[in-house]
Amino acid sequence: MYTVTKNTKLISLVLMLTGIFALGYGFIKGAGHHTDEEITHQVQAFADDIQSEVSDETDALDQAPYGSLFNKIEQEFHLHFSQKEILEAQNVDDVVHATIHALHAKSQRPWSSLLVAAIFFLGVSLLSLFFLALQYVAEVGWSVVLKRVLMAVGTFLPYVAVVIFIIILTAGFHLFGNHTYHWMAEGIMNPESANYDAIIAGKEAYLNFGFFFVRALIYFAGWFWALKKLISLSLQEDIDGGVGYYAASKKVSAIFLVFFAISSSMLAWDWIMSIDTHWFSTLFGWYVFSSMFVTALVVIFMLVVHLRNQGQLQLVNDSHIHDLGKFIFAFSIFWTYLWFSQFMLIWYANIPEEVTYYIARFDEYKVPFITALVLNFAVPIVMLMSRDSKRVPGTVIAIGAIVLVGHYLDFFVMIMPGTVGSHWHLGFVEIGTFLGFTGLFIRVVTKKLSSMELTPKNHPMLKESEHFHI
Amino acid sequence: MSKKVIYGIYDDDDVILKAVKDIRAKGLNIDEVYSPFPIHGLDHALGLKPTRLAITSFIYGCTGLFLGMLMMWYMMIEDWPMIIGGKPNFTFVENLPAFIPIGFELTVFFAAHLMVLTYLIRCKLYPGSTETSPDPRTTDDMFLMEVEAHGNEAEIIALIKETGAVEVKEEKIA
Repeated sequence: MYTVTKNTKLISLVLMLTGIFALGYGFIKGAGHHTDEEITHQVQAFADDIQSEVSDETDALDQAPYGSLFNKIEQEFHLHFSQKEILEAQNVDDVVHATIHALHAKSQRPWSSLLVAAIFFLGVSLLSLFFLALQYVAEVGWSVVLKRVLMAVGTFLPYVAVVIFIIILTAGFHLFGNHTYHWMAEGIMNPESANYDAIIAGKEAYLNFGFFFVRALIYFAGWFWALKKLISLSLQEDIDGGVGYYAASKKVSAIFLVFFAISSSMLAWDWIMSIDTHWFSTLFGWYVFSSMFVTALVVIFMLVVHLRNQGQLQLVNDSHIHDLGKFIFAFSIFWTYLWFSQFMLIWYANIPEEVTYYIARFDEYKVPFITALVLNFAVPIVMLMSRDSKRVPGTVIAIGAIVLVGHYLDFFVMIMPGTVGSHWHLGFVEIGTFLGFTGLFIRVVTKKLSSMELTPKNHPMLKESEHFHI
Repeated sequence: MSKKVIYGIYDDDDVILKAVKDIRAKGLNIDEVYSPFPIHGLDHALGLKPTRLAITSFIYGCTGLFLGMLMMWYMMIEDWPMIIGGKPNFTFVENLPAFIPIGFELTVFFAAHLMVLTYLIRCKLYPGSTETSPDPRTTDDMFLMEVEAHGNEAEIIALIKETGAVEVKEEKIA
């Protein structure tokens, strides 16, 4: 039996506390209850002050006509404006707009960090469940000794669900400065409102809060059902034996995979793509899926190697390690394939409503955007191509860690441009929130692992897995 | 002195795999095994060096990528620049995304075809080549092991019989 060591407990606790501090810091920094009217008023007052202080001629000669006004706002509200925003402001209204945007971004920052981390760990736990179901449906023999690890990783799903529902509900009811989803803004679907957006209003049949919330409920209900069922069938199989439990697991897995095929795409549309409400991409669901799958495989790999080093999972041999390494390699390439397919079509067609997505990323997110591509493609294809490197756990873990950073950045670049725009940071709030999630993940998964036998005793293909050799 | 080879014929892949291991453990060298299908673990048991086909495949792939890019550069940038979709056509880099699918296809094309050709040539399987198996039954349901003898025929024959061969033959080669 695996027992959670004191060190593991301590590390997860420290990480969780870091996460709580980071989120708390983000919320306190973002809090400041200015309404839009108050801000407009304040900026107008500043503009009048400056007008009386400085003569018109010097201001007009200045490259940025509102430079001093921006300066004053930066000091008053503790904001920072980009050079582009300062240069592009044509009148006081533009300055007001920029200020409101910047303040929204500030209160939005902890929410976006939370969503990025939640999507990352949703990927880890959900795709682990997907991988498990795949093993049953494809009647795979080699992976039997890994199945309990897949189950344990899957049990993190409810914790992700709680966070996702908190984000959805606070966004839907406009609480605590959560402006994650632009289409939830007040009056955006109302032709009489100043906020009206005809394109978004045209999507009302799908993008309305009620349906959005119900969809989330349905996804999680379906995933929980499969997770619970597969775990209980496997544990019962340990006691009773026979092939009946395996057949039942196969049936559950087949149903789950059909459900997953639809829900995995829809979760990407709902929780990620709807942030950039005007924009859409037909392969976005698969793109998110591939990113999540690589993440999940790396985490599974790390867990398996950790358990083996702890003296557990003694049936796992180098061939199992090799095969997991192959999966990581293959799906890194698959991710790049989808990344590029999405990019090239949009680049080639050059339709304004589509290219805005990439322009925002190339202009304001160049470093994380390009870094993600390099880490997720160039590093695994060069380092993991040879057979020898995949059979050395240390090598794959080092490369896997790099790939995890790359996929964090990938989710970051999916979510941040549409929520905080040019006012993005990759600082304590973002990284701390992610570390907090990591701590919780380690705690939950190791606890689950210590509660069950790590090798399914009566699995019909256990022998095949034991003698697996390539 | 003329050389002699001993052929041990087996009717089961597991038996011949075990026989290969046992005979090699005795310090004898096995020249070749003929089998109607690949036997898992046999190359390792025979002590064969890992194939270098993967390295050639990498080199062929790089060649394909380079030639594909060279072709696109010559056709679309150097010789006859064309404006497609309003894209700038003066530099290679600005058009690179459009060339990646072609580069990818040629990488796969070169790697796959040249790898197959390399394999066939290395296995001496070209038009006009003759069969090398000493017994045609190895293309059906028999497995054959070939051991070269240097005056120790009796020992080898005994050993092969001991490991479960259904038939042992001795032949002189010039």
